[in-house]
Amino acid sequence: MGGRIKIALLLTPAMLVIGVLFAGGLVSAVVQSLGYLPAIGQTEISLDAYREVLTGEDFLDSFLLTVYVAGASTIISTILAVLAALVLRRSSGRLSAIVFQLPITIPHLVAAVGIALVVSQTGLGARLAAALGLIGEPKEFPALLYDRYSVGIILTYVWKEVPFVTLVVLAALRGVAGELEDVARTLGASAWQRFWYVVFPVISPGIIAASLIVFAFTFGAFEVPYLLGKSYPTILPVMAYNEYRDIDLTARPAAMAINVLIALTTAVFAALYLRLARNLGRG
Amino acid sequence: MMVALSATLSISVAACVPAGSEAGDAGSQGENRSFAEIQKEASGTTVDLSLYGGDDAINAYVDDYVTPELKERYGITLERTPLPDTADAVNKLLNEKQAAKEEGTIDLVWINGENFATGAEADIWFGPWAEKLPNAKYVDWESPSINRDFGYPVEGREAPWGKAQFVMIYDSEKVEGPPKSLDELGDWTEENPGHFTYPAPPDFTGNAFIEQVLYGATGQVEPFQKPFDENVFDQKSPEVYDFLNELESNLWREGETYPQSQAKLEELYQNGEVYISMSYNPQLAQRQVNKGLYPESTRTYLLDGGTLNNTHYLAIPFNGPNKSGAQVVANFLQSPEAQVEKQDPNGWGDLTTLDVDRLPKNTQRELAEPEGRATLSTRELQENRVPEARSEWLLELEDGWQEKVLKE
Amino acid sequence: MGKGAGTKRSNVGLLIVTALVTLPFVPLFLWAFAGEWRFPDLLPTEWSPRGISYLLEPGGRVLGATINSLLIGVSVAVASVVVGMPAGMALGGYEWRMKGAVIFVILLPILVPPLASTMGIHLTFIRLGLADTMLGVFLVHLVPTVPYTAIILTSIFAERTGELEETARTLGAGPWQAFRYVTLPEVAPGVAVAGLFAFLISWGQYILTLLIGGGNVVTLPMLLFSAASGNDPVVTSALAIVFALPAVLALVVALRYLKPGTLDEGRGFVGLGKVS
Repeated sequence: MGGRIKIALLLTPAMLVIGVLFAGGLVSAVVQSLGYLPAIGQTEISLDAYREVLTGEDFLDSFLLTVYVAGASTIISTILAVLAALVLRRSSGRLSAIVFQLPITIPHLVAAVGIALVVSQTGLGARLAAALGLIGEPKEFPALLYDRYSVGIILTYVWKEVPFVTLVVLAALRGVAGELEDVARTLGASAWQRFWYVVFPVISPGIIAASLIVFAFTFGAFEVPYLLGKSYPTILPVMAYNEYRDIDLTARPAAMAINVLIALTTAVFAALYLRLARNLGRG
Repeated sequence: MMVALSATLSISVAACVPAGSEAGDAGSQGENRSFAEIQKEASGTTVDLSLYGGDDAINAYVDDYVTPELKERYGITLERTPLPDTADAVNKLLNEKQAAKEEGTIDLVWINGENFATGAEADIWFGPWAEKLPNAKYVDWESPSINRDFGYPVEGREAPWGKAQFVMIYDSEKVEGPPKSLDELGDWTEENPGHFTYPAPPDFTGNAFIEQVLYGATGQVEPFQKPFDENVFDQKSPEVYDFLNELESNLWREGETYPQSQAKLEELYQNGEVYISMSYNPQLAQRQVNKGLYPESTRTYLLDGGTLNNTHYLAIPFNGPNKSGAQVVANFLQSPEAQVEKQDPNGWGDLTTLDVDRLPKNTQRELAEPEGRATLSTRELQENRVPEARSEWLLELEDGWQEKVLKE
Repeated sequence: MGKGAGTKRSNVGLLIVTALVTLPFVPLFLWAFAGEWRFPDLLPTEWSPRGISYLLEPGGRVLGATINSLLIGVSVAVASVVVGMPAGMALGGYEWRMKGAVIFVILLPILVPPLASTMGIHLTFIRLGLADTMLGVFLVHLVPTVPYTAIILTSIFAERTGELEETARTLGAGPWQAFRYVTLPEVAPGVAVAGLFAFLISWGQYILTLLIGGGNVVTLPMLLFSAASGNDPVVTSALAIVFALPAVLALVVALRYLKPGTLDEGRGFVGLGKVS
């Protein structure tokens, strides 16, 4: 009995913070998304905002773009991370830790600004191309910023996330996978066989878990696309913010509706991650 | 657990409580005290001036000239709050009005046009106060270009600060004979694809550009000075969007994206990516040439039929915590000395809003005539100006641009 | 034989990776000291201290913004550790029924963007007088940081068996003494790491500070964003470098003073990387 109370007490501060500031904010967003804005005279609850948002062309375009950016970033980061981990696992653990942890601690905005200065049409890359005689004018260099394929944004996410995923994979590789692999080698398995039948199955839950986190994060992230994205379509969080900033306050429920939809989507990923982590723990 | 739950509920409930209506009335009472009283109360206080922060020259004018002068003359500490967009301040005030926040953080805000009109409709401006300022004697309050802000009645709720006129800028080494009409612009962009673009509305300068297209494509100015008429709009606006859509494929990035702000367009011009630019400040080009940022071959020019000109103002929010200080600051900014300093093309270069005929002779002489090859004379600017359209037309036009041009 | 080639490949790989990691910093450092650098020059044609003098301007905004960022960051770090530690103890040290649900709740603010809940709570903050204040910004920064510290500390406590505390108790120590003299020193490195990540998360926040701070609370990322939206790469790059400094410093400090292994090797908590 005392044990349960003790646990409840221990959990209270964190639950209070999350409950009030996070859940409270979401509930408030839901309420406002249902159209309840008494100060501008709207007290009727309806799903109008959701109807307007979900049937609008903008939402679909934004949603698809967000899924594309998050998906591409996640897939590219994961593949590069696995490759990097495989190649680097024989290196000194300390050195690779330093190199990899740098991007993890560098703020996204710094990465975005730096990468933008490398890949813009007047950036380092373009100047190098000009020096090599490949291009004459800035517009001949491929448009990687404010572009349809969100290349600049994806590059920034990849730069930031690959180290994180690589560290996860490296940890898994240096653990059980390493021993199993040695066994497989003594049994005569080739490099590919070792990878595919021994290493990969062991590290894949960790990879998937890390990918889920990367996807959920890039899905809901704001700063980088706000800085490097094109005018239209924008990703969902930027769309929500633009609606929120509108001086026409009747756009507020729509802004909140978009927020709620973003929250729901990312919550689903959170649930998936948790299920996976639990299976990981058991296995 | 229960504590957390009840806290969550109370937060949500707090969000739902309707705002009291008393806070709203504060906006409509005016200023009744004498200026001597106001100045006395303002002494030793701090004033927050919120203004668009994207132009270094404007920031320097405020930080390096206005702030020390205010401190010395009136004992007022000025704090400049940069805004990414004036609409953000309006949005904030609207939020605060909704939440019945009686004391805000903004004392004085730089504003005009649709931002002022939207705010006025929501009754978030303090006033009237502006016509009672001592320096109002130099301002021609009878003139519709002062007492109406993009057609909206000012009624003393904002004090005029300066004048802007829309101009086009080009690099004479890369452009022979800059396009002065819409047709010419169409032809030029076809021959020089990828070297022209405009900031995406609702950026202020982007709005001005599509407004010029409105006047140019329809060939009319008058109908848009009158109250908004949906039929007229539905009839005339397609001409605007058609022109802009046709232009798109020859724009920078083929119109797939537009520079998000005036600052970004200027960056493109500085990098030599576009050869033609635009601005509301006729002295900008000369100033940037003097700083070595723009090529010396930069020139400013006007479009056929005249370009938009407007007055920009300073307004006091309903919940400004220091209304006395705000009025003293506004009065100083309107003073002949501050206006002369402001017009200095080596600093900001913004034209004065004061009626030159009402100024003392020696001040008239001090108002520098724009100098330099990259700028235009005052006479040329005056003889080629057209008034802004009313805000309602512009708001519709901008929304339409988002729908019909940006999203194709 | 295989080992040798593998190591060589590893080291080449490390070199490539290092080059890619440092690539974004190259233009930042060049621009920060540039005077004139037009396209298509590969290096600035003129160098200038303009970027640095902007940073060091007396009465300039950079110092104030840096102080704000530091104040908020440190308070958030301390608060989120204080809040997260008991949660970590509960989740890591004991088995109980609703654990999965609680972990889910704690996990949510990490994966669900704080932007959504912050926009929702903004109006309430205005009503409560928390908007436009450092306190309001501090509170809203707790949302992404507390779950982090809670989870890091969960894995720290999960590895402990509580034997030492039990021994201390049998020797007559009270619960608080056991905690203070036995538990704390043991978990201190882990706590430091948790605090570090909380600081970095708060340090890197932009949109939360913008929304709640209302432009009144100016932190370093806001200056950087404003500069990056403008047209002066010199100022932007100088600000970016200053903004990145604590991150690098934090890494150096952590690697020097903490045992390798406490910092990170992907063990225990997979989500350790979602920092800034």
